[in-house]
Amino acid sequence: MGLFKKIASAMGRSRGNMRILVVGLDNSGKSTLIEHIKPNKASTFEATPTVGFQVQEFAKNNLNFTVIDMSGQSRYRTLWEHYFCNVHAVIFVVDSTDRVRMCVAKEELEEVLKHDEVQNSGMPILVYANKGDLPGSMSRQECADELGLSGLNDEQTPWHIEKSNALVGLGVEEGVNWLVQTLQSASGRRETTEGRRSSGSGHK
Amino acid sequence: MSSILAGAAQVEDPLPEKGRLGPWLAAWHDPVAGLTCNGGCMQFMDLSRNGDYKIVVACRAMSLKVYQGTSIFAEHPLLDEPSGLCAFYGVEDNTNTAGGERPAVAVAAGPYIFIYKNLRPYFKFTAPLVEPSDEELEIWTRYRKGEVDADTLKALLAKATEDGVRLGPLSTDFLAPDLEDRGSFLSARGASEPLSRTTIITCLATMNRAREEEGSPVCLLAGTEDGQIVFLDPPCKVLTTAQLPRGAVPAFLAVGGLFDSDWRLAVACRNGRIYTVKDGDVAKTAVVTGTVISLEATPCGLARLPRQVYAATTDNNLHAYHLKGRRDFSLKMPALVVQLEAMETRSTTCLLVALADGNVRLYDAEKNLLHTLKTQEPIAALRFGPYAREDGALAVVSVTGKLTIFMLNRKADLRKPKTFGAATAGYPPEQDIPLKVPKKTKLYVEQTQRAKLQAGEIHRAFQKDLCLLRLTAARAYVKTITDGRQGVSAVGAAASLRLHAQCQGLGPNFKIKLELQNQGDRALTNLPVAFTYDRDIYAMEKGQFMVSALIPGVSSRHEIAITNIDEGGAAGSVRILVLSPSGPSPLVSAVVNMPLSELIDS
Ligand SMILES: Nc1nc2c(ncn2[C@@H]2O[C@H](COP(=O)(O)OP(=O)(O)O)[C@@H](O)[C@H]2O)c(=O)[nH]1
Ligand SMILES: [Mg+2]
Repeated sequence: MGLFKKIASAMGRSRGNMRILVVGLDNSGKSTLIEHIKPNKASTFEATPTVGFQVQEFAKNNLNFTVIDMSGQSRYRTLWEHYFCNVHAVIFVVDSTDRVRMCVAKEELEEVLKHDEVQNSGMPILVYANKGDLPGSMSRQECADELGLSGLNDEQTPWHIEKSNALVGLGVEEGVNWLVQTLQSASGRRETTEGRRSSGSGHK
Repeated sequence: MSSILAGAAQVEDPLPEKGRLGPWLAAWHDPVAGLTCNGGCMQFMDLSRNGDYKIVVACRAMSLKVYQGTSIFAEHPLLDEPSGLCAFYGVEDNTNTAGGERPAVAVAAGPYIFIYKNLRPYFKFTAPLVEPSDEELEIWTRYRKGEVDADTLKALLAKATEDGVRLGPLSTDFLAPDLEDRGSFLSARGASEPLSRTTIITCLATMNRAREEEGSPVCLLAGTEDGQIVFLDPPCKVLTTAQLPRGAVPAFLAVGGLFDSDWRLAVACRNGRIYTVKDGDVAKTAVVTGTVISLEATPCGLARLPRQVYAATTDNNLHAYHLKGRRDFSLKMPALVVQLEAMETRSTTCLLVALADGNVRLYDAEKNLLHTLKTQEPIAALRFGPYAREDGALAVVSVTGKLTIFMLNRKADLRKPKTFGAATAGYPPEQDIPLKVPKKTKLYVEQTQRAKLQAGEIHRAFQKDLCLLRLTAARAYVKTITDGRQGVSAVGAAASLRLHAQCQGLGPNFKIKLELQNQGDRALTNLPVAFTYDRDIYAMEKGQFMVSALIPGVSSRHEIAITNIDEGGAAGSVRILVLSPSGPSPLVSAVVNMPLSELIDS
């Protein structure tokens, strides 16, 4: 897989906990995506709607990984805002075939971007336009337009959108590569500006 | 196909606004949906039971359409023009042991209710036959006994219709003006054909049986053209019926409660009355209660909120009634109400009012207008419910068949708005805000205590200050009346005077030069000019003189000699007053500060 090796090397000498928050509407494929990138996969995974949230912790490459899988059902979406603390990156999964709920996904993404911990903190946002294998799925560009990503300031919130198929892991790698590069350059920059910034963006 | 057409149609049909519209998010607009239906023929339903709710629509064009997301999921022809649609759970499914209750769709058309399971026709229910009225029965009995002949039969039946008796098909066919051979008609049908007749189903509703939760078994309610409410255990078992008074044709049903325990049903009828039907004393029976609401016009919408029943009438009014029938309030709407829809969210229940002018108004239970959603076209049907895994969605069908879907924003504030528009009513919000009464400070308490103990002294001090204030005011007054205004004065309304004074000389003899100019537009005559000075220091030949005339614009110059007589050569000031010939106060005054005088050796 190599994802966590990459993130581990991206974090350089900083050892410890890596927290990634995975959010998105229900049924967008978050749990499937996480299951796919876990080091020791369950042989058979059956996706059932997540209730509340699920925390997956696993060690890989001398790093402890915490992946928080939030439920996307509307009654649980209020929980998201409580988990941005100490998170290093956010993965937003959107079902690219669910056109009718794109407006809701946009609204929820906006809410994420408005969050104190995310806004101006330079926390990278990786968007997966998931279910790209299904007919009628929207392209990367279409999703970005519908979600209003193009209007984002790349300096304040580094973002990237990747088309994916969480069932087989297609596209997941490309998105992760971007995340690794972004975290690397961010930590590089932070080392040079460490003296000036007393309270960092949460990278430890 | 739909998307290609949609793209073409968008050229002349502007898409409704995108993004946030008050509490709504514009989700999707299909300008070529081509739906022909009213609100009674559209419903949200989790047909696949996977949480992905769909829209089921029975179109007047005799098709049953199912939407999923932004596309058509299924389409089936209907056998007749639909008059109502209800989707429900509760048809036992023998093939699926785990799921139990399967979703089904009931479509009313003519005298039938077609029940679809898995979107395939599954059962047909026929509304119970209606027994003939006593009058009709008696007329035919007399004919069949041979008491009356064909002509009298015709006359009697014709009279009965005039009296408002509803006749069955046998009588109406017999009375038909184009019936040529009455003899053969009577011999063929008249002797034996039963008089009972079929009826037409006008509206459908469901009532849960034993549990409130969605997905539990229901009882299907059908109103008929003959004023009956039939309670069905789907697909076909008649549980009970309720007969409304004569002339009442149910048009809208609003259900509250559970059929197996207690329930209450509001029935808005075309005769402008709302009847209440409730559970009888015997289990599973229905009784029409004495509670009858008389509307001023024909009802065109009915909705039930937890504590109220709302009815819209064709005179653009919206009335709210307590469940027991007492009117709570009425609101005037700007256009005809197309549909009323209760909007239940997890936190509150609101009322949606769809108007013929294309607006959808959102009211809370206290009749506060929360939001007005503007759609592009007059509305034909509107529904609120779960759609596509979202808890709250609004589906709006325009009269031209366009389908628009809005999603309720999870963070929408459905409480009373802070600002009160003209359309909202109720007491002003200030009434709820308590007045800010400041706390009694320690200082305040000490001050009041002191005022009580030393009242006399405080009073005297105040009186003394008041006297001083009056004195100061009096002094200032005297000063103004003695000085006039420095330099320039107003004489009456029209005249004003300018005085310029200057002192020349080294002393002890000085010369004061005066320049007087009349800046008004009236000539002044006989103005006394006076000098005041310290007589120990200065001496003047003449302490005053008269200016005989001052013509406007022309300045007059005067020179007056003044001698310093002080031995030390002290300096003082000389005040020059130009007096009014009539009044006591000076018109204008000037002060000349005299220079120090040279000493004369004596
Ligand atoms: N075809 C397809 N189905 C997917 C994909 N990702 C997830 N799913 C399916 O979508 C459904 C919801 O997935 P789940 O992981 O529970 O979504 P979550 O609610 O976001 O956690 C499951 O039935 C998955 O099998 C994908 O990329 N392609
Ligand atoms: Mg999940």
